This record gives sequence, structure tokens and C-alpha cells, in this order.
Amino acid sequence: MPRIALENVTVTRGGKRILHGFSLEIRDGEYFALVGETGAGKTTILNLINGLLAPDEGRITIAGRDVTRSPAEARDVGMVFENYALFPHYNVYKNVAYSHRVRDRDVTETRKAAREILSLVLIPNRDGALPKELSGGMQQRVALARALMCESGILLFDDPFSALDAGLRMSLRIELKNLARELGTTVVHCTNDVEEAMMVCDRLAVIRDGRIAQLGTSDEVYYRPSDLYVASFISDVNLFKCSVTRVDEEQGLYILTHKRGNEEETREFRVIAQEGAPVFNEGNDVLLCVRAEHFYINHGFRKKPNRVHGVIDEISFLGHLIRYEVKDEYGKRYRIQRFVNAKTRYLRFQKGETVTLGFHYKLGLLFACPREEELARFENV
Amino acid sequence: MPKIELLHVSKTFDEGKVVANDDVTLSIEDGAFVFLLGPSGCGKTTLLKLISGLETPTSGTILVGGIDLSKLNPEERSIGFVFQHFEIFPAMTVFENVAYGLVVRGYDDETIEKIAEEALRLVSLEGRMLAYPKELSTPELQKVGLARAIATRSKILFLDEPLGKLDPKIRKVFRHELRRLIKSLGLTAIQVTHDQEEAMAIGDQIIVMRQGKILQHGKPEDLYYRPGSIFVANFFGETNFLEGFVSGVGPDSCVFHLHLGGPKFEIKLQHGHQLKNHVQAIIGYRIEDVELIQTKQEEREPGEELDLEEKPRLNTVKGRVREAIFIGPMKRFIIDLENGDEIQAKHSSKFLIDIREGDEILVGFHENPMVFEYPKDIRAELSKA
Amino acid sequence: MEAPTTDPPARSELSRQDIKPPRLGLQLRLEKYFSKDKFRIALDTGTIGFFLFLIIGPLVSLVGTVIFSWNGIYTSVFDDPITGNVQWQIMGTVLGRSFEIAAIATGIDLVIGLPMAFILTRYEFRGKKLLDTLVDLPMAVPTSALGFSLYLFWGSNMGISGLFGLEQGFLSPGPILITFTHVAFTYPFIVRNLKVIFQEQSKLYEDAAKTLGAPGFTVFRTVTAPLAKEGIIAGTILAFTRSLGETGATIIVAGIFETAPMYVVALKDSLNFPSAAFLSMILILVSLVALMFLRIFSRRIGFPVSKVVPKVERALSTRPVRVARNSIGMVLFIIIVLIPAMYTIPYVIEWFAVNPFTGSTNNTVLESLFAPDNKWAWLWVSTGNSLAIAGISTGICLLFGLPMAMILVKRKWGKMKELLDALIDVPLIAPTAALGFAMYLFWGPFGLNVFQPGFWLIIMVHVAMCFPYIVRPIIAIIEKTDPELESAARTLGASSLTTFRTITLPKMKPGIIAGMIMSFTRSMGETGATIVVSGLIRTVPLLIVDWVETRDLAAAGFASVLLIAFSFIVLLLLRKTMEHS
Repeated sequence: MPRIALENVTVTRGGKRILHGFSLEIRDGEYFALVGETGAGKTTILNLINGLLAPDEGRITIAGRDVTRSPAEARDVGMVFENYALFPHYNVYKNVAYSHRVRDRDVTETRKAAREILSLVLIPNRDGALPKELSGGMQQRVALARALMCESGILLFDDPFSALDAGLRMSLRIELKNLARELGTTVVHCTNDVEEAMMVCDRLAVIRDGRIAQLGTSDEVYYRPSDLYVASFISDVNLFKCSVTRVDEEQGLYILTHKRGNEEETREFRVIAQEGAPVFNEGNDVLLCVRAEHFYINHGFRKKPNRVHGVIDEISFLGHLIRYEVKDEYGKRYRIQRFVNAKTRYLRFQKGETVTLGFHYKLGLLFACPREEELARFENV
Repeated sequence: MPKIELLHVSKTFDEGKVVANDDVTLSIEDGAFVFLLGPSGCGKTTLLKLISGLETPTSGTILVGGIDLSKLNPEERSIGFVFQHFEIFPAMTVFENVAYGLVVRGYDDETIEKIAEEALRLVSLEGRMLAYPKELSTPELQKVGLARAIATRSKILFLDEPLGKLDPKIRKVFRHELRRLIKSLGLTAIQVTHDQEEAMAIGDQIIVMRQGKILQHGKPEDLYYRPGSIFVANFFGETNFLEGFVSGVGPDSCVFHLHLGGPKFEIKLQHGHQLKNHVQAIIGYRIEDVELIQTKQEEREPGEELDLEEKPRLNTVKGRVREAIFIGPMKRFIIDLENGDEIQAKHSSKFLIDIREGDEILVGFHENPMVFEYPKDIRAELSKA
Repeated sequence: MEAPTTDPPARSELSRQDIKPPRLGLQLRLEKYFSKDKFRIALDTGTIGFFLFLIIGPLVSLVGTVIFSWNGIYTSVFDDPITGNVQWQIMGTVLGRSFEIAAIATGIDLVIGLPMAFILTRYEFRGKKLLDTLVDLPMAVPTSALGFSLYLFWGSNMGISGLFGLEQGFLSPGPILITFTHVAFTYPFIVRNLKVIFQEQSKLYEDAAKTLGAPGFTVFRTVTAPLAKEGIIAGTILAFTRSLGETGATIIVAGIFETAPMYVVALKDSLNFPSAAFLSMILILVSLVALMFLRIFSRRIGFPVSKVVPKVERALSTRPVRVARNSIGMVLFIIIVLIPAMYTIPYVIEWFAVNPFTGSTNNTVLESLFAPDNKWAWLWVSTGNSLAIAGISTGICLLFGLPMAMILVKRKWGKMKELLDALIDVPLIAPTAALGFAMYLFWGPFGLNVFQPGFWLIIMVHVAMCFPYIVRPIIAIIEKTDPELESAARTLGASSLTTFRTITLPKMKPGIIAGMIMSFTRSMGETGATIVVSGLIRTVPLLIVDWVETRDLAAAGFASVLLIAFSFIVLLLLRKTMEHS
């Protein structure tokens, strides 16, 4: 039985449809991430689960119990708000103990539980401090502790790290994940940062305009994106509009031709499509999509399948990554991302250098050619 | 030309109770794109406000192009400023916003139109000239803020977290466009950010500040590979720190003991180091530099040919993989070393190495770590605030 | 931002070196010149000087009078050779009565106002806007018109008692009717204050509390109310002091009873200035203490909220209780506030041409207005007076209020500014009759001898009275405006005056308009202080008081409706400008 289920939920606000026939099941004890752009409807989903929002249509169940019409205070689902929403007039302890106090739990038990949770989230003894006296990271921990006091075993995070410095974010993510696992809590975590989602989640759903674009493990979403949107949302992609010249049925290999502008010159790609990709036949138009990090980069100029050539136009150093932008003779730009560590640090390319880019035939993603409007979002296909 | 110099500049608030900038001395060359980075409240924004005249320094001198600015009002300094919340004038159209800096300088209508239109074209907003700010999306507002600042034709541009309000995905695209724009206009620019990656990706130089002081100022790669302190190493990129002590200190090498009688690393030292024999020390490895070695040979991805002249020698320690996390392009590992330390490692997921949770592995550390003397307050150094 | 992939064209306007900044035009040059510090300092000094003269002068002169004529006061109040301390006893009685009425009225307001404020901020329903306007309505009704309306409704045989066929009024003029009047009069102040507070408070905290398991009532008690604490206290004290100082409506409904501000008027009229000064000082002192309390202690008072009684609170959060609470709040508002406050209108219509009981033209509006004593002419003369006074005093207020608002927001003067900030509110809470008397002493024949009672003294009093009404909305809007907007303008090359003209002033416009309208209506309806300093001049509210005293009810009714209609139009304008901002 799923821990949380949304069945055919529709939400309309101010004449605008935010969710339409939305269904989602979250398993017991899993860490589930909702990822999507600002305004995709992620927070609405959280508010449906915690009861701050009632759907116009559809059913919501928690642990099999229909809670569609039950108010927030009856659901006991802990939530960490984007800006924490710590009660400014209560000190740390009173904030954390709030959910027990409003239920008039035994005072000593409440104290014990709060103590335990405060030490779990590593808050040093600052019971008497008011929220405004704490640093951002500390406030975040207090908000977490407060949410953990809810006893339903469900935690919702609404972009919990957005107010924190990048460095702090990284260490808190891992901490959060371990904590949830230790306690066996079911977590739904909203964010607009794919890296963050993948780092914490067991499964994730990519939300687009109030619908699930794809749902799966990080691995599935990364290697087998359901469509171009998901593929490009997760990391930078390079697109090639091709036609299928031949299909090698035995190996499942597609041989593709990419036309270069008005020129006669063509380029050949050999690709085994990702699992779950549609089947293409000879003569079909397809869109080949190569992730920036799946291109390798080499000196020189070698003409072979799955290779493109160009001149390095821009380099940006990101510590453990280097991004190159390569421009070919037709002005088409390619984005390449290279992992750098002590072993590969010395292999560097200079601006203006002619290079060959290539990718492994198992790493190309194939999609049916989308409509022009959809493609227009990407530069030079 | 606009070389920016600060000499012993300090700024305090609340009658000296809050120190925002503490004896800052700094020089920024003409045409440089510099990033100011540091934990929140370290005085980054205050520094920009001091130079642009929005705040007055408590002491010290600020020179631009050799001219002392202290007598000049902000409107006379001619420094473009892009604000964190954009501060687009809500009652004016996009065009009026961009033209504002020219109108108050008394230019004639024709010149104003020409310049404002060009500024808007540079940020591809020419189609929204007559729109009001409330009709614009966040990225568009950001562009208006930028166009408005460059339309004044000042040669210096300050940017206070200009991309902070955008979605991460859009942010990554914008930052490159921002750099191109600044470079094509030949501006000297200082940008405040809390995004280390952004600073490295597009900055010529980076200044790391903490508690009102400048900790380090240099090129991104210098800061990344040669951080001057544990704080910078930790704040900037991800680093595993190992505590221990050193012996056999020579001019360019020593032995680092993770524990008395525990694993020993042979490491190289920079020339002119100050390390003494038998003292406590800390060494740091970037998490991507930690090698994970399985019994079976590591598969290298076809086509990737590494022409390494000499492979650095490795110090190895036994460990156990506690956690392996797949993050799309990256894989991240959390490993318990046999001596009880916990470290992290990060690798490209393209190298199809198959290391799973629970595997016993060898962890390789190269011989060129960052080496630091043991600080007085290790917790303060490792905190990111 | 599709940045150019190639370098910008050579003739780029942005990088051309030959465009030289032009010589500034006259306006910009003047603005730049007057942006200098010395002009700013001169303006600040002038503004503060004016303000001190306006507010502090009269207060000092009041205290001075009390001190210098203490012997006289002592004799007449405590030790009169004939009556002994009967004067003091009367003062004690009227003060006690005023306090009692103010306390009860404020208490009732709070009880029926809280649910209303909550309904208006936390629920969405049809007709919410209308309800919102109705709640504000009594504020638009000038106090003497309001008093008259309530008197008609509760106190005369033409009001509610007519409904039950009673010969007598339901309530005879006296403390109870005064209390009812004060409830109606302060209700919009309380609701308005609470509304603003609830609106500004982030709903997020309430959401968080709900997810933590708190039922509606508990959320209100533990989160909403404590966070709104300062506002609730401020609203309560404001209402209390307003009730304490109210004169215009009270005169009409008081009958043979007197309240403290009325007694000030009476003492002044009997030329017993020392005693009037003494009582005024007490009243102003009480208000000042309330103001101090508001500023210093309201932040420190805790709400007693430690213990939660889940059963009771859960019960209080159930739907029936909620509905009951909301409907009671609504019904009481309609019965106690809305209908009585508006009752003059049906009355005037009914009594316009014919007496509805006898069919004759006796006591009708027409007959009364066109009686030989020429009320019709009086009405229009006083309307002219009212308009001129309101217009001029609003203009003066604006002239000094604008720089004052800027001083209070922008200057960093520490304690000195806090004091100034507190003083601004003095006219808002000081009893109007007392303040009017203080100003009479200061400016009048016994003080500086600049103004005689009459037109200009009324204007001075109204300027003092309306000053906070202009300054506060402007301050509110400047504080809400992001100061960085001005920084942006400065970095773009605008001098501080140019910035003020192009950025700050347009932002402040709704605040200025709102302030002007508030000040204008306040001045139009002011009664208590005007009575003290009017001399022979009559404004419309004074006319109503006069006519009620001479039992020309129909004429008073007509004047009230005129005033109400006028104020209502202004109120609508106010809402329009508020919505536009």
C-alpha cells in the first residue's frame, strides 16, 4: 500500500488550472523528490498532502485512509517551509515543541521527545534563542526539528535549502538524507535543482506545467529520459536533427545522417537508442540528443562516425569540471563538460584550438522529432 | 582609466559595534571581471556600496583611475549598479527605466533613444520597450536592470547577486551571456555572489572575504588549486581534510601520519614551506581527486585517451563504501577509511566503474595534497560562516 | 538575453567616446544645486521649528497656565470659599465617567471587531468589498452627525422605539447612549487597525501551525494574536483615547450628563480658564501616558499562552462555533454600528416635506430650514467656512508634512527622532477639546495674541489636528518602498532632489492623496476643538450641535446628511486611490 496517494487530483486557482487529473503514489519510507521549474506546481502538491489546500476534484489518501477533506491539523504531516516559517515570537524549544503543546501532550514526554530530536539534528543547546538570533543554517535545522516532531512519519520539504549558501547546502543534503533513512521517514522534497534532487532521492518526478513528465529513479531519468524536456532539464544537451538511413536490427543500431545547413556535406552517427525510446524506421526524422558530459574531447581532426569538429570558443573552469563551448565551421555551438581531477588536470585545451568531439554509441538519446515551437527553445539544432 | 584602488578602507555600523569592512586594501585592474565571494554578512555588498558612494567609509581612501572619490556623490561617480532585487522603477516603462540615467544627465531625446535602444537590444529586450515592470518575468526584470546600468555608459559595473533570483538552469545560461556582454563593452566589473561555481565559471579574478577582511584574491584556478587557508579550501569546492602529524620534513617532501602507527602518506611540499618536524598538520584533497581502486581493472571509456607523462604515485588506505549516490553526470561516494575517518569522493559517472555500497576498496591519495599548519580553532576554520 | 556572438559594431552608441555629457538643463541644474547639504539642513530645521511651534507651544503654554495660576486653580477647584471642593468632585465624576465609557466602548469594539477584521482578511466571499466599505462608513460620518444619528435612532421617539410603538426614546440621552455612540464611532478605527495587521502578517505562520496540528482557534491564540499583539494594543489604545476625548457626538447624546472634554468646553465658556487648563492638562497627560505605554511597553507584554486546552479549543474551532462567531460579529455590527450611524438618512427623507405623523408641515426639514431665522443661509455660509478651513489646513499640513515624513524615515538621529516620532501622534490621541483649549491659550488673547477665536485660529487647530493624518500614511508608504530604488537612481546619475522628484514622489503619491483626504474629512467633521476656538464663526458640525440644542432636529438632520454625503464621496475617492496604489 502506498504511504501517500493522490488520485486524479485537480486544482484550479483564480481560473488557472494548476494540476489536472494528477496522480502520484509515494511508497512507505522512501525519499521522494519533486523537481521542476518555478511555477510548475510542486508546492501545490505539497499543500495537498499536508492539507493546506483541498483539491477541486480527486482523492488523497495517507496510509490508505482518505484524507481529502480532513484539515491540515488533523493530518499531522510535518513540513519544512521555504523560508522556514519559524514562529518569530517563540524560542527554539517552543517552536519545536509546538505540535505537542497544541495537542496537550504530557510535558515531560514532550521535553524528552524535543530533546531527542534537537540532538538528532545537531542543534547545540540553544533552547532559549529566538529564531532571529540564529544563523540561516541553524534556522533550517530548527525548522527540520519542528517538522520531525509530527508523528505521522511523513515529512515535506519545500525547497529547504534555497536560502542557504551553496557550500552549506551540499553538506546539509547528505545529512538530511541520512537522517530520513535512519528514522524511516517518508519524505517528499521539492526543489528546482536537479542535482539536489538526485543527491537526496530514492525516486524523483520531473514536474512540468502541473503534470508528471517522468517518474523514476535518478538512474532511469538520467539514462532513459521520457522526452526532450526531461533530457534537457537534467543537464545541458546538444541536439542534432537527423534522418534514419539504416537500421541494424540485430544490434539495435541506428545509422543516422545529419545534414549540415545548405551544404551537401553530411555527417554520420551510429547510436543504440536508450531503453524505452520509440522505434524508428528508415527515412524517419529523429532528434539525436547528446549530453554535454557525454562528449569527449580530443586534439586534432579525425573524421569518423559520432564525431564532430570545431574550434574552442569559450572555456569555463568550475573546479572539478571544465566546460567548453565549441563552434564548428557553420556556427553551430556545442557544449562539452569535462570532469577534471588530479589525473586529468593536465589535459587542457586552449581557446581557438581545433578539436574533435565524440560520444560513445550507447550514450546518444533518440527522440521523435518534436514540433518546431518546442525546438525553438533550443539554440541551433 | 578605471583602475579601482582601495587603501585601508574600513566601515563600521552602529557606532563601531558592527564591522562590515576591516582595513581593506585592494587593487582591481582596468577591464577585469572580479567576483566577491564569502559567507553571508562578510561585507561583500557593503564594499560595493562604499565604492559606489551609497555608503561612506569610516576610514580609508577609495581611488578610481587615481582620483579620490571621497568628495563625490554617488551620482557623480559614474558607476553602474545592478541590484540584487533589480530595483526597476515600477512606475516607468522598460524604456523609461533604461533611459533614466541619460535623462537625469540632460541628454537630448535623440541621443537618449539611440543609446537606450542599443542597450535594450544587447539584452534582447527591444520588443518589450513599452511594457511595465509588473508585466515582466524575473529574467526579464534582470535584463532591464542590466540594460539600465550599461546605458549610462559608465566604464565600471557593479553587480550584486544579479542572478540570485533565477532558477538554477536559467542562471547557468545567463551567466555566460553576462560575461560576453561585459567583455564586449570592455567594462571593469565587480560581482557579488554566493555561488562559488558562478564565480569560477565566469570570473577573471575572485576575492574571498570573511568577517570584513579579504582572505585571498586571485584567479579562479589559483584559488581552487592553491587555497591560502583551510577556510578558503573548504568554502571553495569540496575538500576532504585529514588530520595527523608530519615527520621527515625535507625541503620538498615529508611523511604525513594519519595516526600514530597508522597509515603513512608520502607527500610533496611546496618550496619555502614553513612546516616543522613532528607537528600537527592538516592535509586536504579535493573530493574528485580521491581515487577508488577496485581489484578489477578500471574500465576507461572508449575514445578517452589520456596522455599523462607520469602518473603520480598514490598513497593507499583501505576503506569501505558506505554510500554511493548517482547524481546524473556524477557519482558521489561516502567512504569509511580503516582508521575511522570519513571521506567523500566524486567521479564522473561516465567512467563505468562499478563500485557499490558495502564494497571493500582501496582509496588512493595522490602525493600533492594541500598542506596546512594545524589552526588554532579548527571548528571556526571549517565552518562555512 | 541573447548576447552578441560577435563584438558590437564599431559605431556602438554605448562605446562611442565622442558623446560628451551635455550641460544640464535649468531644472536639473537647480535640483543639483539645491541637493546640497545646507539646503537640506535648512528645510529640516524649518519643518521641525514649525512642528514644535504647532504642537509643543500650546502644550507648554497649557502647563505654564496651570503652574502660574496654580493658586487660582487651587482656590477654585479644591478650596472655593463658597462651594469648597465641589469643582474637584465634578471633575472627578466627569473623568470617571469618561474613563468608564471609553473602557466599555473599547471592550465592546474589540469583541465585535476582532471577528470582523478576521472575516475581512482571511475569507474570500462575494460582497467582501461592500462589507469593507460599510465597516469604514462610520468613520466618514462626522462625529456630530454621527451623534445626531444615534440620538435619533436610540434616543428619540422617531427611531427604534417607533418600531415598537413606544412614545419615548428607547434610551434616554446619558451614559448608556454615549457608550453606544462611542462604540459606533471607534469601531472602524479598531477594525481598520486590526485589518491592516492581519493583512500584513504572513499567512505562512498560520499554515505552519496548522501542519503542526493546531486547530483554528489555537492557531489564532498562539500564533496570529501574539504576532499581532502590538497592533492590537495600538488599535485598542487609539480607540480608547479617541473615545476619551470625543466631544462633538457626545454633546448631542449626553443629555444632562457631562464627560470630561465637555466639561472643558463648559469651563472655557464660563471663562474659568485656570480650571479648564487644569482639566485639559489631566486629559492630555492621560493620553500621553497611554502613548508612552504604547511605544515603550507594548512590545514587552506577553500573552498568557502557555497552556493549551485541546478539548475546549478544538470545540471552539468547529464549524458551528465559527459560523456563530462570524454571524454574531456581523449582526452586532449591523445593529449597533451600521444602522444607527446611517439613521439620519431615512429620517430626513421621511420628514422632508411632510410630518409623517400629522401630515402637516410642522417640524419638517423644509419648514425648519426656511424658517424666519434663515437656517438655509447659515447652512451655506458654514459649508463655505468648513470647506475653506479644511482646504487651507490640509494644504498647510501637506506643506510641512511631506518634509516631516522624510525626516522621520530617512534621518538617522537616534533618540531625538524617536521623540519626534512620538510627538507626531499627540494630536491623534489627545482629547480634541483639551488640545483646542491649549491652542486657544497659546495663540489667543491670553498667549501670543496672534489669532483671535475665529477663522484663522480654527485653521491652526485643524492643522495640528490633521498633521498626523497626513504624515502617517506618507511614512507608511515610504517605509514600504524599497530604499534601494533610490540608491539605484543615485548610481544612475540622479542628484538627490532629482531622485526625489522622479522616484520618491511618484511612489508617495497614493500616500499623499490618502493623507490629504483623511485630513480633509477629519477637518470637515471636527467638532470638539472647533467649539472651543470658533468665536462667532460656524462650521457645519457646530451648526448641527447648535440646532440640536435648539431642538431643530429636522434642520440638524439635513445638515448631517449633507455632511455624510460629502464625507462619503471623499471616502470613495480614498478607496479608489488606495486601490490604484
